[in-house]
Amino acid sequence: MVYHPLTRGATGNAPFPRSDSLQSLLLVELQLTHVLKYRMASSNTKEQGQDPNNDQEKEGWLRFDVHPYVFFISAAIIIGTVIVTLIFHDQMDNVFSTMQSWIATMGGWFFVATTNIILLFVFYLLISRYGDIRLGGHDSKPEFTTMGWMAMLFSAGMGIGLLFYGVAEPIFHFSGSPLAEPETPEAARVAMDITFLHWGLHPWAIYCLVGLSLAFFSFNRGLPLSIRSVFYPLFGERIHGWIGNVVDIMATVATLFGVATSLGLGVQQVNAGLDHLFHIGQGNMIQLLLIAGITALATWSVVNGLDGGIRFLSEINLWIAAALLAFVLLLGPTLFILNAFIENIGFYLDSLPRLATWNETYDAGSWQNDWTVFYWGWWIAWSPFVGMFIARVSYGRTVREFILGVLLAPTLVTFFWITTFGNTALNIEMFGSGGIIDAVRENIPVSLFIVLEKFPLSIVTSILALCSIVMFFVTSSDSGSMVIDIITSGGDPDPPIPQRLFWAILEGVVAAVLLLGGGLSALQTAAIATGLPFAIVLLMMCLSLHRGFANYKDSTVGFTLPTYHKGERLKTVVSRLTPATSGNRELWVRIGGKNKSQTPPSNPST
Amino acid sequence: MHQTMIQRYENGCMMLMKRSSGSVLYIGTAFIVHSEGYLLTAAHMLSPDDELVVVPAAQAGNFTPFSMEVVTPYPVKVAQIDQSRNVALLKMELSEPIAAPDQIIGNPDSSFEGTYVLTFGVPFGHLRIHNIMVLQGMISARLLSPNETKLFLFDAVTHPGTIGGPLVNSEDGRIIGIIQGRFEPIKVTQQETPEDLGIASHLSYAVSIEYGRELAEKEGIEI
Repeated sequence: MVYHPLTRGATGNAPFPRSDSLQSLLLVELQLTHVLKYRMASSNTKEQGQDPNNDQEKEGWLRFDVHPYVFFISAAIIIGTVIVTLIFHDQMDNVFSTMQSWIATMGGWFFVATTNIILLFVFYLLISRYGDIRLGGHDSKPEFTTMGWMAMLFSAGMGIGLLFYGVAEPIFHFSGSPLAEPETPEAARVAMDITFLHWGLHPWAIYCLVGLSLAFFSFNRGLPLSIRSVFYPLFGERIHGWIGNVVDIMATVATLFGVATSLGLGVQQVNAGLDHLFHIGQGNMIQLLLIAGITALATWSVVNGLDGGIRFLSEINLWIAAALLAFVLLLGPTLFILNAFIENIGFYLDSLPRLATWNETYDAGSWQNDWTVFYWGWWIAWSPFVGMFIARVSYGRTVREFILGVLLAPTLVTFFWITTFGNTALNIEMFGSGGIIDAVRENIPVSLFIVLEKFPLSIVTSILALCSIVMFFVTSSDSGSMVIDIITSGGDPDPPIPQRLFWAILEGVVAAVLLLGGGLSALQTAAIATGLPFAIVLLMMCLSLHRGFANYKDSTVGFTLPTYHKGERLKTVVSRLTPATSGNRELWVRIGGKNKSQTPPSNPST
Repeated sequence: MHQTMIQRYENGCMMLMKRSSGSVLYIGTAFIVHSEGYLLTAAHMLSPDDELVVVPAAQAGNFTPFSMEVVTPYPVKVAQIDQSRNVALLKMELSEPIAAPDQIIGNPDSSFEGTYVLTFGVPFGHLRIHNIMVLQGMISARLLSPNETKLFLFDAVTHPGTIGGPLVNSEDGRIIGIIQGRFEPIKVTQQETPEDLGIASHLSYAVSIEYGRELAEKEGIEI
């Protein structure tokens, strides 16, 4: 039986989006929150949906700003799921696994269709007449230089998933996929193609849609920074009612399960890595300690904001990742990698329509359930998180710039990273000493270290990689709690710290408890289960955004004067004509001398 | 074909009038260039002792009656004026900014002969016909006047009331000139001719918008 890493029982058995790092977004978070507050205040948000209990004067540190329904219902759902899963963990495991395969089999086509529709919609917006709309109004200027903005989008493209699945996924597909004969050159090509499909344009189109919607409705329309605001064109003021609450609750629950799952899985990976290097053993206790440690670091960074240590570490972390990339690129099969980068992109683009719509219809298997459908559901569940961040850094960009930046920059970086690490692993497997396939099948997290071991200085690089992962987690926990807090406070862009601590700790607790209860796969299922209804939300978001753009464009077509009541009413009378002649004006007077005519130019007259 | 473009500029064209003992007399057209209430128009129509007001023309979009008996004008002052270029920048007193489309000023230097243009104005305002009329023409020539002002000659007929209105490049939908009136070759060359040569042209001319931009810069605003 072919080993699918995504089925239950495997260690470290699911990918997660590489967007959970987002360091440099945090680097400017402090400034952003101030700027965002200023902008939103000056565009009259107060009338439109900010919590009436929220005043601009923040007194002291201890305050709460919650949207009552969203906050408490989301917390209740999450805590409730956790408790139920703990108490009934044997039965629940079955329930969840059945749910997951049911959703994937029955709804797989829907996920595939949705992501393709979103990609096409985003391309349409790119070339449409809405491309000139500037996020923040027509006078707004971008906050950051283009290079700085791109760098932030780059960092949004980095993530823990890339560190591990950059190596593991191509190897998995190489060793067995329904689309090619295993372990052949064609399999290698297809393996990279499938990996590119999962990590390329489609996820970024989803994040682009959500980010664009959030940015437009909060910057240009002054609505609260929350998912519900995106539906204003469809539901009007009712977004402040139960419809909006439902949408926000779905977004919160999805995001929290996504982040907690990443935390749990990543911790397993850190554990496996430490075990491989230092033989500390793997097990629940160690992983609990690791979760506690990482959550503690995250809460410390939440409390202290971004000054000092965390900020420095975040910057260093990106450099570490870049250094690892350069290291493997230069000391590894450089020529192979460079060749592959170009060929992979071409092959990806060429087979994109076919591969993106492939539904395993005639193959009658369930491979796709475990990979593609899973990924799509997971990216959809993550989209509020990533979307919120890319929205906040993109003030002042036009729609066209935004789409190009978000689609191209992270995708290219991701492709380059996957090519470097994945093709290196393939190279070792195909032309070198081999052994990667077996390692990956046994234990995914170890695959990166196995590859690094083939290079000099492996202890150093492995430790650096581990530190990198831990840092990514700390920052993603910090940012995850920030985003959830924004949504549950009804769109407050600077949510109070005690609430953020609540969510940061809850993330850690959820991950830990489910790790103990053996229900990590249950979390995965919960993320995809929220992914399916959220996919419907995303389709409606396309409609709503389009309508919002159309209204905006039309309303700014012409001039609209404010009404003027103070003036008196005066009668109009027939008046003398202005001479339509041209001769009486200075335009016709030669500079520095008299003109030819004897008569001097007459005075301008009416 | 040009409907969106026309919608863009129609409501920005205002009738420039002056007060005269309880009534208002029409002078020409002025057009809005900035959301704080700045307008551009032709300078030769303005006298220092005029009390100037602007009035929105009959709102386009539907069939509109052609005369308004009574109007509520906005007071306006001359902010900057340049008689040598014949442009003036006016400022309205406003309580709130105007919602204006962005990037309305175009690039006159890259509008060459043959470019189709639209003129906006209230051609018969003096006769109390208060409707904006849009005419189409083509840039026939680009001249440098004797005092080295850049002019566009175009072949749409300009009636007296249109003077001060915008000349819009219909290929990119932006304003490239301020309409000055009919182009009369005889008066221009200031020849005293013994016989009536009977040369009148149907051509019109406009001053390049760059001089309007210069006035705006002097005023400290960006258009």
